[in-house]
Amino acid sequence: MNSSVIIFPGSNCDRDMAVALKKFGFKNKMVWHNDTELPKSDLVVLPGGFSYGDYLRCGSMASKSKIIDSVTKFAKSGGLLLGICNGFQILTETELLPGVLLKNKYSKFICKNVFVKINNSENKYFKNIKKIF
Amino acid sequence: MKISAIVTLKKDVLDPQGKVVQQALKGMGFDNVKEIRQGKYFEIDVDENDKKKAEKKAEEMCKKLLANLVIEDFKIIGSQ
Repeated sequence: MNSSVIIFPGSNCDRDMAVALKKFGFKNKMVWHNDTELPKSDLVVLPGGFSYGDYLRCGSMASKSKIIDSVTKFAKSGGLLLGICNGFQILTETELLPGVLLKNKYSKFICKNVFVKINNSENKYFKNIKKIF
Repeated sequence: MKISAIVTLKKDVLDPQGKVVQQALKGMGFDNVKEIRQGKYFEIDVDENDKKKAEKKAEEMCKKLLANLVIEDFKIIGSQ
């Protein structure tokens, strides 16, 4: 499968993503935010980091990048699109995910490892996963 | 022409940042503050001499980028 990782100014987990994708057998390409066309992709990833320094609103300026039109078309035609951390913030600032992120209500900032579980495997990402880790 | 715009959280949106600022002020002795809400101020110098056109451009910028209209309002507050 082919993947693309989009790099924005201030993204810093793009290389981690490339390493992970390679480990899982993807043929990956790094794509610059100013490009207008995505390479042929099955999966597109918006990586973590601090695009545009989190200035204005996290992910706001990245969501207006030239590449986003192409990413939107890709997602709307059924392509797999994954936003991690700042990448997720960017997706909420495009029209692709609804809603918006608010500041933590109780002003707590927690950084720790947690277990997650798959609540719904009726989708392209999880349908082949039989075990819950 | 310089257009001034402010962007504020909609009134029903929680402002934890403002709350923290209020608590800090309280610690400094400003204990009669009922609430603080923090917004943003933009000074946009548009290359345009027509005031109406300049304000319209600034309004478009607010709608498209400077404000997230899901949780924020914006207001053009001045021009010079």
